[in-house]
Amino acid sequence: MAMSRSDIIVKLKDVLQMAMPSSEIDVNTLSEDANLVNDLGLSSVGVLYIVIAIEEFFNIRFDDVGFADFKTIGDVVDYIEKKLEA
Amino acid sequence: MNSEKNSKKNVKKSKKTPLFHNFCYDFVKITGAPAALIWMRPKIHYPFGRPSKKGGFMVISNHPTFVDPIVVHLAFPFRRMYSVATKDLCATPLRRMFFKIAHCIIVDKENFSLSSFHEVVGRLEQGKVVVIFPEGRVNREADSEPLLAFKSGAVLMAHRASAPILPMFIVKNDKWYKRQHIVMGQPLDIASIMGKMPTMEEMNKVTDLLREKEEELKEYYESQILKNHLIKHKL
Repeated sequence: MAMSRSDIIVKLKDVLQMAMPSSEIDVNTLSEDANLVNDLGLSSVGVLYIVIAIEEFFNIRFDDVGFADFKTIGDVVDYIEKKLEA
Repeated sequence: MNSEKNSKKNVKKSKKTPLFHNFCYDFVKITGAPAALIWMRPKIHYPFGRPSKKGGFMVISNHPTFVDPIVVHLAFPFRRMYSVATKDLCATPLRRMFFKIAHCIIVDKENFSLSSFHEVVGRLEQGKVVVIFPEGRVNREADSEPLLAFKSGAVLMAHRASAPILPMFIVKNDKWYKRQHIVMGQPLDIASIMGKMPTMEEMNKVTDLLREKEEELKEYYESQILKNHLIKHKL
């Protein structure tokens, strides 16, 4: 059964929570426009971690994407949606 | 289960190294070794016993000079090794070809791609040795600050491949003709320390732990080897 966009966002926020140090930002308050680097303060390794965690959580396989391919949370959700539909 | 599936994909994804590359790598290693051994006369210290050098594992080291990759290769003379190198080193196609033949996995620090990540993980899963300098660059301030902060990418890759990490410390020589000292630690089985999907915070903690291990190796050299040498020569 296909996941809705809101389900993906909820699950993705769990992943983001794991990727960020506990005391910093509350991921539940973030919108889809939140920038992964500027708003979440993620490093390139942090983005890579998110990619791997998404592969585990959503059981999908990323293509050879780069760190710069995902600027916002929305970009990541779009990519997951596209992968789950394929 | 998913990670098992992904692991198999990583192995499949990492193509076998072309025979020509292996031939050139072995040729340079065999013919270059005598000169490098005469020049550096490496002395390897094992404060915690000799670690196993079999199977796939990741070697991490401090990076005080640009010749460190040669030093690491001398420490593992009978293994074909893969080194992670930054894209900045491959400014021209010729240099890129040279680094590829030298078993380098090229990474772009500005835009770290999944293909580089999968190549490192795949090589480890194939049972190869991968060398990473987790400081991310040559530490030009090694005299005043022997170790820079470690980046956690190495832990992420080793964990994904379930490969142990072997720390080693390269002593910076103040004169080029001095004997090269290397202190080898024990492999750290990070898969047993961390769970299946650790948080980034846990990854950072293990990265800090590895840095502490490097500090231990440095302290061992300073308190045991260097001190005895100074006493012996009454310096």
